[in-house]
Amino acid sequence: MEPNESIAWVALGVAGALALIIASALPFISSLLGPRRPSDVKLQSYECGITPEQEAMGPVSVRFGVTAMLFLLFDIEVVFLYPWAAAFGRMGLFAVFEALVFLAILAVGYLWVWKRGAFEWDK
Amino acid sequence: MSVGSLIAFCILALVAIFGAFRMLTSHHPVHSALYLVLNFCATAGIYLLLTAPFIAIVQIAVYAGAIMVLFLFIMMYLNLGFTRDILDDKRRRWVTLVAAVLLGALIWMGAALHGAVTLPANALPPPYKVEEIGMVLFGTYALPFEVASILLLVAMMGAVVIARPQLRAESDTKKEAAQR
Amino acid sequence: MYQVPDVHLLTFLPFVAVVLTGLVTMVLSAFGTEEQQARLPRIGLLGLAVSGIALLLAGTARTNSSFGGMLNMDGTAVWFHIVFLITTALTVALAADHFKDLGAEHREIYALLLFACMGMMLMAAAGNLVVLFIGLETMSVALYIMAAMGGRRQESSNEAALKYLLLGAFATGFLVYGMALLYGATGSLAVATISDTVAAGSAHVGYLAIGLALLTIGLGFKVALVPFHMWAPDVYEGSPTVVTAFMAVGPKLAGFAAMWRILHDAALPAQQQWMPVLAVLAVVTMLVGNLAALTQTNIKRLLAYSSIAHAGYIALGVMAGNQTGLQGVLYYAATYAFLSLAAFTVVLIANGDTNEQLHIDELRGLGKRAPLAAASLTVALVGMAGIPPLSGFLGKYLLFSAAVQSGHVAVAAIGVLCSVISVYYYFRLIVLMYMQPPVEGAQQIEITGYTKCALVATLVGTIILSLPIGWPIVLMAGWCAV
Repeated sequence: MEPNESIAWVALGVAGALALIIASALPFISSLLGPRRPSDVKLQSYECGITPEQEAMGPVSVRFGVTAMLFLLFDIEVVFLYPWAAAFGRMGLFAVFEALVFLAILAVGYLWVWKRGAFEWDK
Repeated sequence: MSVGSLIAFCILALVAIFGAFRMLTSHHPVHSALYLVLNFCATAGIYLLLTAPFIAIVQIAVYAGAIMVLFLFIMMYLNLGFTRDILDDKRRRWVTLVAAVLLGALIWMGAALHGAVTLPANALPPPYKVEEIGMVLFGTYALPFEVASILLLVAMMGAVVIARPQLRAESDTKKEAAQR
Repeated sequence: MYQVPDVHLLTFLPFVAVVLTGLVTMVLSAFGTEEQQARLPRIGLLGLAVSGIALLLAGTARTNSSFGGMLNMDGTAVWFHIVFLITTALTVALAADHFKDLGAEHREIYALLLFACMGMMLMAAAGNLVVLFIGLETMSVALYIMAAMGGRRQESSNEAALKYLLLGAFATGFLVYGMALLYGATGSLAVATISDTVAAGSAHVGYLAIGLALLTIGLGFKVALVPFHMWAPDVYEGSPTVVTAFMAVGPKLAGFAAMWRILHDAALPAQQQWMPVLAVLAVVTMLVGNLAALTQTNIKRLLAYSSIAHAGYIALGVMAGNQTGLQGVLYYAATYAFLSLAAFTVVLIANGDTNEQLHIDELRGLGKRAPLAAASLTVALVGMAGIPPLSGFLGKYLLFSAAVQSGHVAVAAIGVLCSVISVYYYFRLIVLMYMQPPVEGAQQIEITGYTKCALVATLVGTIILSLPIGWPIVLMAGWCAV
């Protein structure tokens, strides 16, 4: 590994550690400094002023599952394109063609899913 | 391994183990899911220490991101209860213990084997930079890469086709409710 | 460092044809008019035919390696490809007639079948373990989905799909772990390089042995070798019958093609390690498959156990690892494809599209109710039992003699014994069809359209493969096996 690179790794590690520390410290500090005077109304779950009537955890539509599944698949598509973007400058036109074929095939899938109504929520 | 990376590894490993343990023991499924995210992130850090940045990114983007969303949505769909104590069941605790011991033995065996292994001389060092991975993926492995799109396409069809009976049942109940 | 891969379009064309047809049927299944959608099976069949022609062209290409050795279109691959194309074509034809109770959903099965076909073709032509893996996954995922397309019988088919998915994913885990260990042992995923490293003796012995064992287990699940066969009867029973017909032939043969690529092409120098394991697996598979089939009264479970037994016979050829072995595997693959598809076609005709009436009594009096179907099933069953002059006899002859050549006389003897046992349950069905009166209220069955074509095609295929015309085909298989 080149020396510049290892410094970059250290910087990344420090940034990650800082983010973790700040994110976990802030809620802790606010609970330490802020006054706590709980009342029934304050402890209610907040629903924009309407009194909550039922449990928040109710069964939801299976559409959420389908959407999450499709998100996962397109996420993997992006993962495949990331190394392509990183190596783009050092590869020729053939690599562009490869990526286009890959995207075209998945675009067919996207259109199919759309037409099949998997993105419709009001039906 | 330098001292700095050893310290980093110890911290990350402890965080990963803590996340995995709390995922098993917490009483709320959503809390479990969040501890799993913590575990994934720590594992991604360990991948970075092993100079595998691409795997680390995949770990965060796919596992901590997409798969976690899928988990949470499925939990909401199944509407899992609040108390779910796998470790409270005595028999299960024993099974878990036995499985853990066996897994430990397996890892130990693997480590012992590793001491004896040297990669053959003709083996190329595997690429680790994302750029190098890109060039191998689009050069040597162009065919499997393209076929991966077909695999994703088939999976897409599966997500919609398998959910369809349930979707239809849901829209039927909705229509009935609207008629009333 | 970046190198444009050497794509030899000619060797690659059969795959392109299947994929493009799959994409077209997929788009039409969502966007097409009613009229276009009625034509989907025909488009699928056309694409498969084009792929077959491309395959013949690929045979004339000056090289059989493409993508830097990723694809290896040798005689073995081409032979398997032809079998897969025929299998898929027959299944498409069956789906056109027997998948309609799903309403609009049935249209997607054509695209899924074509993509699964492409996956199987990749497995047979894999020159690299990554290609083998991604082909296997494409095939498996398509099958999990098709198993769940149960229409009115959603519960049983969902159960089948879930069992198949869980056990299949588990098996895939074994497979990937095995590949990783093989990489650890040899430093490469390319079949040719692995073979060189193993032959030079520079592969790590421990990793190689564990890796091969895990790969054998993973593929053993896919082809349903005992003791990895538990899923097969349940999944075959619960899936829609059209899908079961495909499942019993395509993935099983593709699994054996992959097994040959790994055990023979990559790890032949380590044959002493895997040969005894495979011999034991083959013997147990033949025994359990045939003995369990004796007691079945559900026609699909009976055929499931029979297909397990046939996996045992084919495993004998892989175990032998010599040219006769491969010749036997290739010839038996073609034979088994026709015989098994014929049997499932008749199940569709006699027992209906759904899984509501699967008792073997439904076959009673079929000789009068549907003479063509009964005759076809008789030929298929006699062929599966391995009675001369039908094709099954020739195939078993090749496989058993390969086992004897490799020094496993006792194993071959057990194979012969198992074939004798199988005669009992195959002939029980023939007796039911011709010597028992039909059940009350059973009507004449008229066979039309695609089903009739499929039935005749399987019958003709079996006859062509049988003696005496089958002998040149055996020689051709031997030529492909070099």
